[in-house]
Amino acid sequence: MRELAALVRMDRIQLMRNPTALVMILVVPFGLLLLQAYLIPGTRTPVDADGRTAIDHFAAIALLVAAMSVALTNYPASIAGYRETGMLRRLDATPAGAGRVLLSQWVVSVVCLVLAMGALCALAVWVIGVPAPENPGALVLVAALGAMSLMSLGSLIAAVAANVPIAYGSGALLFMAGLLFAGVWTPGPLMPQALRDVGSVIPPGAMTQGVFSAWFEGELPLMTVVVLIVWAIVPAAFAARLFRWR
Amino acid sequence: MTTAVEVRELRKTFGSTEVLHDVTFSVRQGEIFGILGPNGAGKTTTIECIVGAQRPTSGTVEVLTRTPHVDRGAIRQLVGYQLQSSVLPNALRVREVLEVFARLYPAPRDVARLMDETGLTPLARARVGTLSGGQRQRLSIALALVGSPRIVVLDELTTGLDPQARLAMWELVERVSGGGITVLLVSHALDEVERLCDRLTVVLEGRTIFTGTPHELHELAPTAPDGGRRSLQDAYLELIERRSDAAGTRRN
Ligand SMILES: Nc1ncnc2c1ncn2[C@@H]1O[C@H](COP(=O)(O)OP(=O)(O)OP(=O)(O)O)[C@@H](O)[C@H]1O
Ligand SMILES: [Mg+2]
Repeated sequence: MRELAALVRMDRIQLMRNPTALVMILVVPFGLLLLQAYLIPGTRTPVDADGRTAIDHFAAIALLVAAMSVALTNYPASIAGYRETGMLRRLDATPAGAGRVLLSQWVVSVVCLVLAMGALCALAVWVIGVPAPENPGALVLVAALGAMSLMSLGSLIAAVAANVPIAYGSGALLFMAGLLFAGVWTPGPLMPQALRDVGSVIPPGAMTQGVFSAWFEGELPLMTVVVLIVWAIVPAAFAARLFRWR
Repeated sequence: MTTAVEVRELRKTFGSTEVLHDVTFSVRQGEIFGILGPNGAGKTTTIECIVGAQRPTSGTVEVLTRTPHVDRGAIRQLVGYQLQSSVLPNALRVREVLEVFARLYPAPRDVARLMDETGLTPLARARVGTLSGGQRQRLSIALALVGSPRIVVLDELTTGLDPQARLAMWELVERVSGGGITVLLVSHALDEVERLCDRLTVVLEGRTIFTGTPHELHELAPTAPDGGRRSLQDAYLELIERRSDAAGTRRN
């Protein structure tokens, strides 16, 4: 515990003293949401039979975007940066251990995620006027599971990426794919069924669908929970095995 | 006197290239032991086998009777390692880095005292990114010492430092050694080796070609062709040249 706390302190200080990374986590999802709410016309007229608007769908997508920017880019890039500069090799000469080095980044990232997602929900509900969540407990649970599954996926990149550009590049590819399955280009009912089916068994799609149902329908499909739990465990387990110190 | 580090017939290959062919030496507890050799000779690779970061292809490495790559947990606590090239987190302050690393060890040194001993106290609040080369090396030594190791391994401690900073480092190493810690020192500087090392080994193209005291190294070629006394550096260069020729002939 003492070792983990020390590493968390180091990671936290580095993040706080490099605020660009912190700001980027919020800028993109906030920008997306505000753009949809105030600049794109017609986003507040119902698009489906239940009367949900495009902006409602984008509220769910914005949470995903925040989670992905932490889990698929910031987090792998931090670890890759440690690898690139030799910091990992230095840590390898101490009793810290790979598990704790990764776990420490998880702790810091999860705190960022909670703050970012909280801020996004507040913006959506109190400023933009998206209805308050039907089932806040389910929303928190599915958002947390979604974030974990994405962190787990990001761990695969973090485990092997030799340097920061490789980490960012691979993260960005997954990020774009994630946006597709989350429906950023085909919000709500516009999404083709095939895309929806594939999306429902991979983290970005499952998380958005889960968030949407918890938020607006007050439900939490068991299937989504199972899918997200599996994704939260399997890639992380592989990452721990693949982890490279140099 | 007991043995701190024992390296016997160490071989190490990376893929199909054999980097170490036969490295053999032993380091006694409490001594300052030098590892010399041209660039690419395999000094860092040898050290990485000693700290357990690399697994020997064959041969024996024992550190305080343990096998490093097997018993890594124990080795990480017993051996402090100053890497030849490592970048520390620039955003952190000197004291913060030391505090973080101290907490990674079960029985760390007192950070304030360690900073005093390594001359870092005036820099406690400086960001790592703003330190000069010599100041960084001080920090890197302090980090190698922070876990109360029995052995410290210093890979090119003074390369790139100005004469004053080198002298300060030497005094620091002497103080560390005076405290009973065994020191392994990789160096290219013969004046440094002459001043600090009790014994040394010379590695050439992955093979040990000499192990002994600086005096014994000098005795290998004490006089120049003109009859004058050679410096330790000249004696060392002569040894390297002779053995490189021999290695070249053997290969052809
Ligand atoms: N991971 C690796 N994979 C392949 N080759 C390697 C690896 N590490 C080292 N080598 C090779 O092994 C040889 C010895 O390298 P090493 O770093 O041990 O030399 P050195 O004696 O420390 O040199 P220097 O004085 O320049 O620091 C070099 O030719 C290097 O290219
Ligand atoms: Mg080297």
